[in-house]
Amino acid sequence: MSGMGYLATGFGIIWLLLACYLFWLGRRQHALQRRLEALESHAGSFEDGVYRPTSV
Amino acid sequence: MGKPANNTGRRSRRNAIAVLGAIAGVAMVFAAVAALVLAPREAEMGDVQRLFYFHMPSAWVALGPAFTCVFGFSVAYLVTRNLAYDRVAAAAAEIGVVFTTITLITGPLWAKPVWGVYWTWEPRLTTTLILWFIYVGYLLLRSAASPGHKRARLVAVYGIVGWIDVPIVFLSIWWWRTVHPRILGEGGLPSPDPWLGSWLCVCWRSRCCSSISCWSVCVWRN
Repeated sequence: MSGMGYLATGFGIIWLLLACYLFWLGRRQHALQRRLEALESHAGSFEDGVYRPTSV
Repeated sequence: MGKPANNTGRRSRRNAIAVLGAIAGVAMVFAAVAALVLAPREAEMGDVQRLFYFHMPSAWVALGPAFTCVFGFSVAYLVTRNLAYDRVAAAAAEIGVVFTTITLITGPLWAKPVWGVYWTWEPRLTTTLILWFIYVGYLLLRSAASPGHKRARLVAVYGIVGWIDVPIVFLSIWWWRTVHPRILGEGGLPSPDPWLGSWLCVCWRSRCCSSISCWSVCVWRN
């Protein structure tokens, strides 16, 4: 493989790695958001990592 | 039915992350163009030397901001017992592992045409690999334990002890005989090559932007 080949491989791997990481982050974010909305739709709110039930 | 609270805060956080992400994306594209097109071709190593513009900034971001933040926020958690610091440390560890992985991939790809081998067990490479294992272990430990103060205490101590390898990685090329190039001069300042210095800065800034935006998402997610 020539120098350009190594350069292209390295470049491709960098972008692929970053893309996979961002994709994974996005999916995790989406899943957590849905769980949060499900929790809040039952009762209460979620602020700063603490669940606060609504007073009846 | 409960009303979702703090929607404004969430929306503004999302907007801030989107803006950070956009800046990071533009910076990364500019860095790629700068490294691949604008930077001059190295006389001895040829085009493969351009990998260096991603290899070194990735290492800098991992060793500097990322793992040092793990150390700092781990200490902060142990002092204050505030779980927010634990979450920030975990986010920083993720970023550090991603950029160390990039470093460990681009390094051998650059080394093969230059040194003739992908890998050699010399001090800088070996200590960097150890560092990668340490922080992968940090993330595995964190995911294996149940959330709470017990987990936070455990990973905080682990993160503080693991950081010991960071200065070892950095100083390895001065402490031991090594084939790894020494880009910093004797006084710790960059070698006097204006092109190298300026393109390194461009790439480093783009790496910082992307790591900050990833970090924001991680912290928010955690």
